[in-house]
Amino acid sequence: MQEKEYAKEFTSGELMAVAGAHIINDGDLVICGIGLPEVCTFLAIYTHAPNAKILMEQGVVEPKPIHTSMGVADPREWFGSKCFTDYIDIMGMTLQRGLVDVGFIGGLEVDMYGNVNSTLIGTYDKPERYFTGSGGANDIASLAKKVVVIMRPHERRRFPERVAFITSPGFISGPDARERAGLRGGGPYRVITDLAVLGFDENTKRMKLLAINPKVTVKDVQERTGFELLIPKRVEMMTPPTVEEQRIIREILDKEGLYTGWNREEPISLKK
Amino acid sequence: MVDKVKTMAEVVKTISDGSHVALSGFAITRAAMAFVHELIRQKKRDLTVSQCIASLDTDLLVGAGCVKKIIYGGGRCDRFGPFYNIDRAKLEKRVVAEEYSGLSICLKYLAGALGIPYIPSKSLLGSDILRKLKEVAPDQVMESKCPFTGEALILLRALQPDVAVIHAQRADREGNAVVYGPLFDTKEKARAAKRVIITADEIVDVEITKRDPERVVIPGYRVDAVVYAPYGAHPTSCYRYYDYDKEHIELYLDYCRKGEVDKYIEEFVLSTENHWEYLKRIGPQKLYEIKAEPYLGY
Repeated sequence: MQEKEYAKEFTSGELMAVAGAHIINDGDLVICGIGLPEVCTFLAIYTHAPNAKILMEQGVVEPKPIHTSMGVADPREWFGSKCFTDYIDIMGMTLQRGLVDVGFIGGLEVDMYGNVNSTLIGTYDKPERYFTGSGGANDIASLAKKVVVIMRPHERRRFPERVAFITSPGFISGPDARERAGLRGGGPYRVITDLAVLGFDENTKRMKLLAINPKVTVKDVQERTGFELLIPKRVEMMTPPTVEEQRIIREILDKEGLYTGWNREEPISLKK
Repeated sequence: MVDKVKTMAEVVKTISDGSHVALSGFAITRAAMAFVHELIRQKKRDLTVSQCIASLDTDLLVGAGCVKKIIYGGGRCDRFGPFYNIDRAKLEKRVVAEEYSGLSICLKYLAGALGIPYIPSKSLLGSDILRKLKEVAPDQVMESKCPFTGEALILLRALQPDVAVIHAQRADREGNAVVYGPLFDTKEKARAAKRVIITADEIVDVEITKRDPERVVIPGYRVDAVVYAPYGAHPTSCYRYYDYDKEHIELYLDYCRKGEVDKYIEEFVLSTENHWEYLKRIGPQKLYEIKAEPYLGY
């Protein structure tokens, strides 16, 4: 097999795109919205997972947009689709039916058990400001086989020990809590941030550090997390994009650098 | 043939204060803007509004003070920004928010459409959305078990809005409505409602409908009234007909962010007598500019 040639310089956003893409297997059904999740999914489709399929909640199947869109309700996002259907078909007859392999969600906060808040800041009893709420996020978190949480910037206030409001349940309060609640989906699989890739311990269901951005140390990541991370003896470096992956990101998927910042951020270099 | 075409003003007169209106939009697409403008002009009060994902129609109606309750699955004005009026009205408790997930709302409409009293679902379990719903709407959700397998379920009470207002690309005089693009919750909410009002960009002869009946998403026998409303979703998009009006949405959000939605309403709604006057205010140049390119659909 040919040795992979890695890009020498890249951005945190590109590391995140690669981390997300590598979760997707060929043939997977993936539910995502616009932005970085879509870059991740298309990157997988353009490289190792040509038969993965994108579904979008409003009722769009396998879109292939050619213009940057403002959201899933922007017809730019629907261009090149193979099927237009509806919300119940995607989120009910496909997702709740148990057919979705990977679902991406984002939010304001994620906690040590992978619960995500996209509803409010403040507290449950004393909200200070309301935000988006669920949309399809609760459905994805409840029902997808693997849930990937995209969260940036990685900072303490976004990683509290307990989220202010569980919009989208992760492992809720620990081992067996999902099962006790009656949730079917596999729960949170990865949390991808601009500093790290995190997973969850099989037994305790607590968030665990898996890989870090080469520009930071394990200590940096822990300091910017509001709870104690499980830190294994061996923490990998986040996989840099290959030359080919980077070309696809920069020339096709994120030409304007909106989501990976490749044309405006100080690049990270591996040479040092 | 019963000709169901009516004017916007006469159709809106049939909406009584306190009604439950399911609105057409989904974020920045196919919102029932022309209809909402007329609800505001006629000073409707205490409305309950529902839709699967929040859209500009609901946000403007909340901003105008016409709404006492919203039943929805959350949402924002896509990357343009938040729906300031909805988010603030919730915080200041000017509206009651019965907030679910997107799928839950669709399922509630589906149960209403099927004429069954409730529907089981596997979302919301273990979430604070459920906890909040049990406080705000204890008669709408229940945790239960499957009588056959014992599996945990959420039971969602059926939703039957008094009226659903759907903005369609095309309808005929009998009400057969053609919708292009993804349908989100359109079919379920129309069939759940006790009455259906179609606002349409184009009104055609029934013979045109018959050439392409598989395109009809809502059949005429379910429709009570049809209103001719070209660009009736402006500033949101109407797939294959026109794009969203980026500058206008930004202008709207700018007013809302500053807490000045009243000024927007005065300038574009109250000082225009009807939809035609509104379109004059937007101007022919803009309307031509946002016309969809046939190949792209936007």
